[in-house]
Amino acid sequence: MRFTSRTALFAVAACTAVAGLSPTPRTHAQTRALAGGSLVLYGAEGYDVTTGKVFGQATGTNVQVLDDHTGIIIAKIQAEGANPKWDVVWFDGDAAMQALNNQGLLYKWTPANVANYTPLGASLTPSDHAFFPTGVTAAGTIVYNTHKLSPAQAPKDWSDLLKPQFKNNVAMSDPAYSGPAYSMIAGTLLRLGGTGRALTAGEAFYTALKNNGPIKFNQSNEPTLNQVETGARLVGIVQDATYFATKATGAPLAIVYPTSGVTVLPGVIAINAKSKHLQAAEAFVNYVLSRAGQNVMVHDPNDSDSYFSPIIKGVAALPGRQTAGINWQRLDYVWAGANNARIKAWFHTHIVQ
Amino acid sequence: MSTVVFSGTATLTLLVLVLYPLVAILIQSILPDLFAVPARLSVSLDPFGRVFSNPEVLGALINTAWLGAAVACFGTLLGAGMAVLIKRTDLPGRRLFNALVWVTLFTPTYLIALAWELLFSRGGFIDSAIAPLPDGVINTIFSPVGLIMLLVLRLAPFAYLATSAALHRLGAEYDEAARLVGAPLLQRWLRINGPLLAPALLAGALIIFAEAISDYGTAATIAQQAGFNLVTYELYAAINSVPVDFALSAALSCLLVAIIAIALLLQTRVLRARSYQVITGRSRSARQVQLGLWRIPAMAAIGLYFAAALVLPLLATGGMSCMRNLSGGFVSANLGWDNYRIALNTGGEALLALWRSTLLALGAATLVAFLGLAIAFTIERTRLPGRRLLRLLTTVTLALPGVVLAVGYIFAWNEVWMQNLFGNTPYGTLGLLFVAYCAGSLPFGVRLATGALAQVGTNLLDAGRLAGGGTARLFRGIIVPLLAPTLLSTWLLVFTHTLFELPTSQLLQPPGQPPLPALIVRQFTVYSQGPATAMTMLALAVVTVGVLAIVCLARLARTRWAGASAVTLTL
Repeated sequence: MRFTSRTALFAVAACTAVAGLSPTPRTHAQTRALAGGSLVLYGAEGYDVTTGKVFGQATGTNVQVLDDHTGIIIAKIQAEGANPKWDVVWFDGDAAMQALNNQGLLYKWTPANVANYTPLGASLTPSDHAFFPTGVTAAGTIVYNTHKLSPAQAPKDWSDLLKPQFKNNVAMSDPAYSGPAYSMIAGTLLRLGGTGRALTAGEAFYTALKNNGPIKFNQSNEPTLNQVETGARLVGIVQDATYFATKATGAPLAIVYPTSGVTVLPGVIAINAKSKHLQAAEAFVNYVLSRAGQNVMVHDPNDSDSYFSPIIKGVAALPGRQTAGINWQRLDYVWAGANNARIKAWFHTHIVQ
Repeated sequence: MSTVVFSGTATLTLLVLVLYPLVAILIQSILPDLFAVPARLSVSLDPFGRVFSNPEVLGALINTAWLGAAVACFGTLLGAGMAVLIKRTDLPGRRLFNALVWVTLFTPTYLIALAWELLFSRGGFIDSAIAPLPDGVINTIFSPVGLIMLLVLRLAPFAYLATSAALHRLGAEYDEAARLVGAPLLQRWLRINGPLLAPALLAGALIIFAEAISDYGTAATIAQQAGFNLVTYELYAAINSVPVDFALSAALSCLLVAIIAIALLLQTRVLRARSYQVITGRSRSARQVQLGLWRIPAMAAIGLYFAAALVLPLLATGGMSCMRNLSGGFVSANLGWDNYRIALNTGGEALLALWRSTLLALGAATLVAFLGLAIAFTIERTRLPGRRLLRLLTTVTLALPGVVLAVGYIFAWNEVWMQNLFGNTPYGTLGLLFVAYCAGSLPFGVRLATGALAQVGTNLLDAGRLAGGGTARLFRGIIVPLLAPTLLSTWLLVFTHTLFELPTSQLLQPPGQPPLPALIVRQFTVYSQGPATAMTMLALAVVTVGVLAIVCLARLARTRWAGASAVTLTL
């Protein structure tokens, strides 16, 4: 069964998608080279559909985007096994991407536009070039309700959450459902574990947080943010991009980047090692790392994913997005990926339940 | 067409659509590397070992079993009670109530959970705007008790459907006979009509049980807050781990299969004891019970149900969809259509997805209604070997979360040999999404039709056969006209179920052609809840209009069917 909808979809795409695109001579050259090519993109970013459309229109590539949750996309990729249907994959979380890399699923290459990275961007690029960061967010940071707390009363660092005034007043995502929450927790364990990477200090922190609770757990950032917005909880731990999108609607919220640091959660993009459309896939990834591509990604002020902090030189974040004064901490994603099941199981048994 | 060919075709369809993909996933619990690259046929008990060495899973198993039983009991009582009141009494407004049951049925579960969060949580609407809620109330709502209440509200319509279809066929002979010998109303319902409805009640209860143990929307939200671990949560965690642990999820699925198999065994035991045939070709229509003063408490009870299950969730969602920001309150400065504008911002994409899903749902509903009846006929009215296994298979599918069958579809229909043979695989096409929707809904169709078929007298079919009718003729002349209300119920159920079905939509959506549920979820993830609730309200509005139109059409068709069946019965 096949609907005629695809033609209509591309007609619509052609009409709506051009804003924010400033094609460089390089893209024009690609237009001729790629005309008629095709590409399947599995994405979990709010801007993936638009970026695919704009790129497709500029280059004559037939880009088919499948947008889903990160968990679903990883499940699909693994279940597809020896007969993969995707060319490019794009989601938040270097630990999860490394898991795909460990299975030998990713194509290793060097896009010309890696030259555009800021120092933070370059530091997040894996040495084997199996995947590339496309922007960063804080995996988890503190937000509070401005009607209930003054800036002086607000927590300044993670340890402040253990104070009596926040008893029974913290909400966050459950790492069993939320990728960002897992990265945040793994980051905390590593930060508190020091050079020996002992997990006990980090586990003690979350146990203390639970004992100053119970913590209110949600499946994703949104409900947590709503609970803080309505005053059900004084403070929440959320991925920062979601906060900025909600803040833009006039919600009584404020953000705190803890002085001891926040874990970087990069958006990451990679090409399938068995892709039959390597030329189009390379062109697309290179486009995402270009200023033109990035300007499409920061285009929609209603899309929470668009509030990432750019790591490509010369790209401005969406207005309202804080980019300075953040103590970014890189996550050892190889370690986080290898310990995924163990840490999640511990957290579920001792903290969530 | 002989019975063997007819039933054989129906059975084969079920095996290809449901059994093959289910086996493809479940077998990984003992052959964990079957789909690895490279594949290996090494038997391992490690997945089950990990399940049983984890004390949490054992707790989750017990919780899941008693939660399902409790929800099935209360849900069946509630649904059957409503069916009797609405179908057999002079209750004022019963037509409206009947329509509202349908609207409840196609209201997505997450709306009820969302509304409860908005209304009853600390700092929620009631707590902040009306009166501070005592801890006791909040703790009860977000506890196993609250979880059972929520699932009962949500799933009672299944029992309502099964019971009201059976009531439609339950004639008045036995009831009249008992009345003549002076049996009072209550006794007649408890001793005669109630037992005669047993197959339908048990069919409804089994569907509710299966749905309750496979629901993971509530397992994820309210059950987690209540510290109440369920098998579905463990299953979700296994699929959501990185890398994905398909073997563990398969082993957990086998546990759910075991639980439902026990429930099914109990049901079969109860039903085997006697016959429940009520349609003999001589049925008289039943008399309506006059409620008198009882109509006031009856209306209050039904009103309360719809307030909790439908009106509050819709008001909460509708209200939220019009609020610019959640904390701004319900004041004119904070109200507007902004969320609707943002939701439709995707241009034609949202409307296209709605159209695409409507077509898929129309097709799935039609196919499942008739295929379900054909399979139910094979199970109930033939002596083909293995027909009991068919029943087991359809019920097992109900008890598994949609995500299991959908993952099975990927493994089953994306095989390398298919790629080599045909240059492509069905996986990733709209066609396979359609087939998977049908497979996911087929158990509903079979269960509802089985309950109904149990009541069609064999003598009616024997008479038809003696008159020279083949299986096809029996279907056209007797079964389809008599079971038209059940077919219609199934049709509407599958239609609305498909429009809001999530896991299959997410896992099997073709690139570039998202169905509506995938799009709504994307809006929940990408945008704040406002635009996503707006999109949900739009979808609900479209579905309501569509269902109303279909009900009107069906009413016309039913008049024609009634004429046809009158002709057949005078054969």
